[in-house]
Amino acid sequence: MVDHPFRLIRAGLLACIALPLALALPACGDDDDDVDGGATELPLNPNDHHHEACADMDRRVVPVTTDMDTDAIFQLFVDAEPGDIIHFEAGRWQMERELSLDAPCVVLKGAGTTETILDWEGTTSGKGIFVGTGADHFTAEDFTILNTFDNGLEVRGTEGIIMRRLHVEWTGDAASSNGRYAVYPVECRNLLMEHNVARRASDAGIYVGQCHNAVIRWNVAEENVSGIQVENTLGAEVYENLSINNTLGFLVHDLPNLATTNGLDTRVYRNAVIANNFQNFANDFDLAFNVPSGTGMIVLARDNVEIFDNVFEDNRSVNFAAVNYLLLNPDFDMGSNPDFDVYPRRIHLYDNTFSGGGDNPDIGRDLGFFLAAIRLQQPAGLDRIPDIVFDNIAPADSTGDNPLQFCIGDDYDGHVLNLNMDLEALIAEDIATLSANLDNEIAPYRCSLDPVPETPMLETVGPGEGTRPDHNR
Amino acid sequence: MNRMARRLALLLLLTPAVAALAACGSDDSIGSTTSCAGTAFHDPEHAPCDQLSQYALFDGTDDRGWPIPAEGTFVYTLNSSLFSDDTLKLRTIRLPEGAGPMRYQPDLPFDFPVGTIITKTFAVGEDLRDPDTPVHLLETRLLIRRADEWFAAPYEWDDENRDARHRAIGRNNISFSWIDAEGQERSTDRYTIPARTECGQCHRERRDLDVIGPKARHLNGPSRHDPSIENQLTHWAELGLLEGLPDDLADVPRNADAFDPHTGTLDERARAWLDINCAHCHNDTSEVASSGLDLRPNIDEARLLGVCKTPSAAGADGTGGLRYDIIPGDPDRSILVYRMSVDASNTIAIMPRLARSIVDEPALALIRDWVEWLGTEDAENRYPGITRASCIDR
Repeated sequence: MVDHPFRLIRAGLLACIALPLALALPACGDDDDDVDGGATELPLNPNDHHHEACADMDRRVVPVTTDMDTDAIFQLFVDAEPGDIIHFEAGRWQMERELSLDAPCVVLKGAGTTETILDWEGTTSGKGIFVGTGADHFTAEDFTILNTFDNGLEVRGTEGIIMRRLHVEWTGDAASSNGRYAVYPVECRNLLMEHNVARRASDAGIYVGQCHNAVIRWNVAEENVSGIQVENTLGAEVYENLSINNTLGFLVHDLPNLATTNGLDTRVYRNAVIANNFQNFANDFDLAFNVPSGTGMIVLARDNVEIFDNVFEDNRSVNFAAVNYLLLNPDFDMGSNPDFDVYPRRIHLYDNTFSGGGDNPDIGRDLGFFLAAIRLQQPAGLDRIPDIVFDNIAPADSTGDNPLQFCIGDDYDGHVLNLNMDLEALIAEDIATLSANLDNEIAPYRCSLDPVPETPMLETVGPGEGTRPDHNR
Repeated sequence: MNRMARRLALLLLLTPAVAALAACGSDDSIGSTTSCAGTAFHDPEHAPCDQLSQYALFDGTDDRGWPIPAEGTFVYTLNSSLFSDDTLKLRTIRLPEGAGPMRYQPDLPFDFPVGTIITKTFAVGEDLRDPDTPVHLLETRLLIRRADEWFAAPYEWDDENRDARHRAIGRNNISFSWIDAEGQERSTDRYTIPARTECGQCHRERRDLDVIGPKARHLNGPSRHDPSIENQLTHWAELGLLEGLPDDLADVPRNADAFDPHTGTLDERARAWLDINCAHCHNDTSEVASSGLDLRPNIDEARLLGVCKTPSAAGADGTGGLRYDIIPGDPDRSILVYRMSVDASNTIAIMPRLARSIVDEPALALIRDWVEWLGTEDAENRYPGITRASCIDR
């Protein structure tokens, strides 16, 4: 598996999970046949990870049948006892309102993403499912969420989340009126997201924000603005995901003014970041709106990111870029936000595979237009934007060739586009100055960094007990 | 259990409800017999009663339509209150007999004994220019103090103001109309009775479900329900309902009445309004702490209040295309003002998210004035470092 990550991801995940819903899926997703319900047998797969905190609970299985309307189903959510398994049978439901949940250790369980379909088409407010602070150790698995007005599944402020084998999609056009996030766990601790599929979210498909300890694996993001997005998170393990034909494949980034100010310690490996050339249909004030179509991966202002064994292919604007926060938001006021570190520090890239891409930057966005202009003035032999782009904006007080410790492994024999940007020129949007110092010099970045610590799966980290302090430098 | 037995005995001696109790007495399960039998006490661990009347918190309704608090149920009012589509509200507390008083806390909600039931009844007044206007009752929300946490139970009134029925899933898109305090005809078709699982969206200031209004700073003032009570806190302390109140009221926090200039400066009144309408979410511990906005009254750092602060995840509709939560002196370009100025047709931008579907015009005017004032020298003395130039046109 390790030897052939790309084959695994494309052949396995794409075939099993990312196929259109209309097609039948033989032997995919459902590991078990339908459980006949022996008295003590629960409809949970013993091979899956489950929340240890809930292991010893007496669980009820609460069936959801196709004759139930939205109110009846919501009543089950509202009446949920700790540990309940709310078990949707195979079927399709037209949902008429947001469902919310606040009891701990609850499992929302379907019969498989092609079997259990919850469709919010026609609603004019609300998310699909909202899981609030009282619902620690939450699990959702094996069903499909369609066409929610706002986010598909939002989980906020909880300890312990598993999202597994969910399919979240907007089936209409790729429109800014689609919900912004397919799956949206935020302000959480200890998260596992695996085997999910997200399609046509107007911001991010597979998203994690302001969490401590997240494991994100085996997911597929397709035709979202941002495929897979890890925002202001402390400790993330992101591996063997497929991000294909989004506007932007991966975004690993920090935003200012959030409770978790600066994210840290992200490992991104054995992912496939393929042809993310979909049109940008974000809302025009979203950060994602500023991203050129055809962007493989951006590391934005995040520190301590180790990126290895990934495949980057055919992302037309640029395959990989590590940049300052101001590059996507030049209006940001550093002076009044002194706690926010705008620089990407200690980014370590090695053993990745690149092919194609960088040959046709999207001039519809400032960054893409800039790249397109650069491409035209690249030296002979460089007919496309190099696979690795680094803005090399250094803090004013820094010294040495590589103050941000941007490191590229010896295995990489391609070029680096080093923008050598000047922060003042960026703020002033002085394009002439910005493009005056380009080079393709890789020597300063031939270095190695200590490994980023691995993020353990569903480790119990209580409030304020994170092993990774929230710090800037 | 002893307490339960004592209360049962007391009740048998004192009330005519003996027959009702006896009728249920054959059932051994304590909860079902003593909780919802129309008695004057309630087992807090029991499932919520089907009908509000079963808690015996009220004794019918008066000729205007309001529930009449029963013996042992007392009314409280807030110096400034949450706007809920212009609905009128009756707030009550009932402490379980023999369980002792509520305990004073300076900043956090008071501590209440297990078994306490706090209610808030929402009603539509026909004509808000008339203080004695007839009302149509919408809902009564109960918070019941259980041994380990508060439990929330929403009740929806029937059309004749007779009784309210438990409805855990709430109800969306309720329509009604009224004449507001300025004589304008107003209406909504999007009033929401929140589901039990939605209560936490406001009532989890510190993760655990909790009350919001019963804090010293909201209660420290005269009762608007009973003009003879000059200060609710001292009144309750004298009756033995509240313990731990400082001897000197000057030591007790006090919020202004947002709409009474006699009770505070513009800044104090605006901050009081932001406190009771926003700070239960916009603080540093709630589930939306990620927004980075903190509107609690003890916050003096301008950026935490939104000054020159860019929003974290508000999106296009959430910001109206504006850049900063607050630009001192420029309410028209302040997101805070924008989000108060939209109604429920803008489901993304509207703040607060629950409880409001129409624009609260007096509050909007108040906060506009305050943002305007933040651009003055006077404001720089109150909030050091705040200047209009610090974020404008950046």
